[in-house]
Amino acid sequence: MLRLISAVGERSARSIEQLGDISIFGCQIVKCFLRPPLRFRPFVKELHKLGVLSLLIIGISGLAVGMVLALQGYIELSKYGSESSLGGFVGIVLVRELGPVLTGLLVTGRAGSATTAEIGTMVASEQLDGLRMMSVNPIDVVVVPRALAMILVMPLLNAIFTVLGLLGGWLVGVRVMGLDSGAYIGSLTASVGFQEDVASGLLKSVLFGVLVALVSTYKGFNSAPTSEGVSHSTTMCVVTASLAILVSNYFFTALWGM
Amino acid sequence: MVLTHPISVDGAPRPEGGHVVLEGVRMEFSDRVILRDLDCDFPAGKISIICGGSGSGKSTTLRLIGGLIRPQQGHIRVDGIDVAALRRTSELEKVRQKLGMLFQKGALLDSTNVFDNVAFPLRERTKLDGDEISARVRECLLEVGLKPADERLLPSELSGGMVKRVALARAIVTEPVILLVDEPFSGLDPITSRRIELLLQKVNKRSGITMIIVSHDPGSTMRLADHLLVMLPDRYVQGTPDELRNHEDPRVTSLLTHEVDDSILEVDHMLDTVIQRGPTDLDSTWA
Amino acid sequence: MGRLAIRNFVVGLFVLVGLASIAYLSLSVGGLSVGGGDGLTIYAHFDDISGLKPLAKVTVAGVKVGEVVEIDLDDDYRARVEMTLDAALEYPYDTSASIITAGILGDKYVELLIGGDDKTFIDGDTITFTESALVLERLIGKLIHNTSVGDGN
Repeated sequence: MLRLISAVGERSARSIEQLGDISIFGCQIVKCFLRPPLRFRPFVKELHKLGVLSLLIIGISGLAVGMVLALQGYIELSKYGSESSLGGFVGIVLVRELGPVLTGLLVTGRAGSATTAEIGTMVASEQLDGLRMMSVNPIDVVVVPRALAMILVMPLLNAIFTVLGLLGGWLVGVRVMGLDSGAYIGSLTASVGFQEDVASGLLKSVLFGVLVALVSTYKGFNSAPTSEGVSHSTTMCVVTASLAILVSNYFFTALWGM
Repeated sequence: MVLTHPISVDGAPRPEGGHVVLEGVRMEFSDRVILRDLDCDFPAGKISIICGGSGSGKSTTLRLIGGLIRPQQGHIRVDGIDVAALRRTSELEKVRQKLGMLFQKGALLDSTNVFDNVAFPLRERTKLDGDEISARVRECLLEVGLKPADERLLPSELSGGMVKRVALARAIVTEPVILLVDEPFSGLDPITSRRIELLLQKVNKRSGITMIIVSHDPGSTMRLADHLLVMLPDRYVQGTPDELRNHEDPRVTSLLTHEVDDSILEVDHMLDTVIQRGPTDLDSTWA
Repeated sequence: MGRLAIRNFVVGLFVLVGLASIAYLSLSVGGLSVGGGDGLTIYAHFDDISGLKPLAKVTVAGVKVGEVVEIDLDDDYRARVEMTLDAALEYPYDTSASIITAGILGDKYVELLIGGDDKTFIDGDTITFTESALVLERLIGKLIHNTSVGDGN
């Protein structure tokens, strides 16, 4: 029993220590970012890797999620004769919650893990030590372009996911279920507001971008210089970032409403 | 930073400094002692080779000199400046201008090609313009025996020997006075290995750069070294190759000649228990 | 160099598509108006709006012509609804506004019944003829009351 309690204590002490570590790491990233020059070429390269290459999974998921939302929503709403509110239902759910959260989780799995693995491999192959020996700060060269690209890519992918989700909902609602297209779009635009829905959803995805950027680069940067260490870091990146997204999502939603 | 020396050509004067001294260095990771009271001296302008069993702390010594890790105790003086005492990155970077490092696996940036890899430290740390950088990079690539056609290759397209050559070019492109070399011959066939050996020798003779090389290849060690540091689990032995060739400790001669008298295996096993090293060191061999 | 140029192009395209999606969500779906000034602002007072919300649509003959901007109380404790309407259309002075429910439990919206007056609304005018929301509970209550009165006769 005593051992259990002290194990809990040790675990929590270690997580608090890590939290402090990540904050310091984040400050270093900001410091490096503010010190010119911005490395534009690696930044564009990361935009390609993190953004363009995630498009397929984001697009298909968005479409599929929108379609299933419309299907489920139609069945429930038609019980009350309110099928005409389908657009609003699909829109609000996608714009406020599923867009940012699912995009965050998908990008974590697709791009966050790749970032961690890549930086971890650079640690294992001594590339970061090589940079240090050349008096170059590895955060400058390796971390900043990746973190920035991740933060920019997230709201863009979220918007694309959401728009495709709305399209998927329209396809099922209008083309399959035979709703009036005007009613779908009318209900959608009437229910979804800018400040409380669209702005909140986009800001959420920026927040998730920051979280995934921080976690994935931190885990890679601090991975043990072995193949086992890299794979462990990659797993931990996905676990930590996913949890961070889901938990922070609740708090953001609660605070935004106030 | 501006290059401290003119681009070296044949007969150029030896650069100033390059003297490395370690005093009473103790290094441990978690509860495992890697180095205990290491005292050694690497003379300026000479090729020093560190050899010893795996896990004896050879690479650790190299990383300590580079300031990549910090010892628990002791001083590491690079031309009189104690690297172990430096806390600020800017101070450390001043010392690192004197240092070049050639990593075991090259540590080339794998997203950029050969040319950009070698040009990288110049672009980052000097105010040279594009033409000057190209000229300097081409000169270094030529020096290490790479053809202009190889410039556009990515690290993943290079053979093991070429990786070492490019890494060497990158390490010397800023004209450091000390070159730290980690296992230059590992993973290479004997012929390539010999080529790299001659290359290192040529670079040393031409520019008078101090070289500290970690290696466990006895042949090249005896041919290359001006000075030797042999790291054993319980002691450190220094000297010239001639002094150590007939050393009283049979383990030293085994490391340098590659011939192991089985009787010393017993001694080594006893050493493991006497000095109580960590479990990962039990399989350390120096055969 | 060619490969690099293609990659830059693709990245640029991706960023543009992303920005276009953000713009579509904000402007079209979210109803964020950029200029703000080109709509016609009209007020209407209702006894009961029961569940009408800002951003609800305003229609003429079922076609959307604008939306509810703001709802507050006037001095007589009636609901004052501010709407922006499509300024390209003309709304006669005797146009009336009623609050309608889409379906039985659907969203509330404002339907305008166009009148025949020559004079038309200008910015800031107030609609005089209004019909409040149909409140289901009240309607049922009235029905029961009427039935019981009928029985008494």
